[in-house]
Amino acid sequence: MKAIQAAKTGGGQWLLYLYGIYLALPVYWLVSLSLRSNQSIVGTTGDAGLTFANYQEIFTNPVWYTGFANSLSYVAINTVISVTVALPAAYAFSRYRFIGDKHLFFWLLTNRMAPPAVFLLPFFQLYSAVGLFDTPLAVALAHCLFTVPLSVWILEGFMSSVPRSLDEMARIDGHSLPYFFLRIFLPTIKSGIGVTVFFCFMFSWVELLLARTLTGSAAKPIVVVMTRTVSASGIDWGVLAAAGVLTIVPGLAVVWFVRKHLVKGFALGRVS
Amino acid sequence: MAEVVLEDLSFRYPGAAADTLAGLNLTVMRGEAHALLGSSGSGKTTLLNLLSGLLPAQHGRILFDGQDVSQVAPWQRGVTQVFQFPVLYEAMSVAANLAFVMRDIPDKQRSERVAEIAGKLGIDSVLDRRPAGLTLVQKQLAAIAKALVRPGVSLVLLDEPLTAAEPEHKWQLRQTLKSLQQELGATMIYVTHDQTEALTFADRVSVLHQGVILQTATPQALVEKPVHEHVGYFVGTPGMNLLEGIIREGGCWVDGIRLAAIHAADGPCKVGFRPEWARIEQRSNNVVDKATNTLPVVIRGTRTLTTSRGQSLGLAVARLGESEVVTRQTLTGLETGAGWLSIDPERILCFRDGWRLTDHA
Repeated sequence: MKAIQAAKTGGGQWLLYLYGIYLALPVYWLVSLSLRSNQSIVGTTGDAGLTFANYQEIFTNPVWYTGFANSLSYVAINTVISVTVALPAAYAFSRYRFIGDKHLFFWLLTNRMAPPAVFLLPFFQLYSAVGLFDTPLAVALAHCLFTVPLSVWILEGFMSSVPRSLDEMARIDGHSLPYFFLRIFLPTIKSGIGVTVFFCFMFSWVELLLARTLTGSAAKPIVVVMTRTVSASGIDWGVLAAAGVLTIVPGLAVVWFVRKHLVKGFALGRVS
Repeated sequence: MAEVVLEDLSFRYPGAAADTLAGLNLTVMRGEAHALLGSSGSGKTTLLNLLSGLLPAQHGRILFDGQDVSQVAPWQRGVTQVFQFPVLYEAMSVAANLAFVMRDIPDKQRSERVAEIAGKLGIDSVLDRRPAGLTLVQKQLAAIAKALVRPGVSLVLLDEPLTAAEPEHKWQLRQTLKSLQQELGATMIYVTHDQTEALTFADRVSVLHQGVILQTATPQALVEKPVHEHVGYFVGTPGMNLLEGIIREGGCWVDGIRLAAIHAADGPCKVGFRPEWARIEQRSNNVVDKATNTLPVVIRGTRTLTTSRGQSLGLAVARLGESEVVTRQTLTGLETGAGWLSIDPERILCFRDGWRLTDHA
């Protein structure tokens, strides 16, 4: 206890501030760039006035805002599919013993051991063949290969920490399994669902390789649009920075909404 | 509340080599507080699940008031259960939890019933709160209320409900439970491995051992007339003393000394007596007087449990050949060394092949 007190008031505090500055500096840089004109950034004029022109460009140019829409839609589809599929699967792994359950559970993780690039070619051919290429659904399904196993693992941990007597109690109380699952069990593990949503969202939102390969012009995600902002007059630094700032926002929003569950969820995970 | 009858009830888990429960017969009367006492692995949880209907009966029947409910779903049986650790639906308030099990009853009656039961258990003040904010004891009281609140409950099962409670709360919880049981006239089956809980809670106790009910009797009868060695040993703190003996000439003998009269076929037997039925006295070292009913022992030590009026009462431990003997008596003046063990001949029990030889002279 004393050591912690000392760290709070002494040198440890400064270390913490330094670390905070280290983390915040790129974000600050990005925000400041996004509020300046290109001329100001590359330093050809001395004009350093604030401008919202870069943001205006993003919200008025369809290339930019459809990029955001595409990204958000495949991330949302991915998160919904992952959680919906993983909930019953995790329940089965947590509550039932069946032949090969442990092997299957481990096998889920092996998918995560391969880098996404491994799956590029098969996915590209598959989605081209079935006509899903260049749709948000294609990216969402491809991301599911990684987020579903992850979700099953996370949720299984949370479900196994709920005593089995809750299930038995519900059966004695005369509730059907679906009713029990939706009305009693899900509210009990809502922290776990929060954590799962967070991880699915984060994976899908920042993933670039699959998202770029599986989309053409129609479903181009924001991260891809950002890598293609080179015009005849050079790179549009200001707009790029504004897009970067806007890309951080949804992540912040998700963390904000599930923050209570995240803290609780991570604490639970640490205990068990 | 119902009368519960088990008829030749057996159960074997799929793939298991032996029956978990083998041919149980038991009648629990309407309004009786019954305890199932057994160590872990004795099959009590399986029996509990059969009674609640979580497991389907394979062989034999379960009758509630004469109705065969072996294949009836838990809810239709009207069984409720209190688990080791309080189980409540976290997403609802305590009141909602209680009302939730009475969904087939009109609203007004429901809230009256909730208030009534909550009052009896002293949890009215926490009715509006979520279970997460309650203490363990409050949660378990709420779980007990949940089990009792539904009108027309035929049987209440209690699965070691005091496990989670602190020792100082156990006694209070058990008293609450017991008085509520009497007030409501509820048929209760209390499952536990703790004999103190079983003996103090129940009107009658069934001792379950390796899937068989060895004895069903009042707590007093279990102490005084156990029908099986295991019952004698398992019930009582410390358990019954068991000595290797022999039956001949109409009496039972240990180490060549006749301890009591018995009419049974000659042969080896186990001689059992409770620590309260015997006493150990000091003897001067070299004297070995072969008096009836008295065995020479070596006193190993004593443990004082209470002291009153200068007399210390407690346990005396002595060796008799290979066996250890424990008595409960006054310890004043008792020292390690040679001693005499005398056993009340009226109460000595003889066992053969585990079972008590009943034909006492």
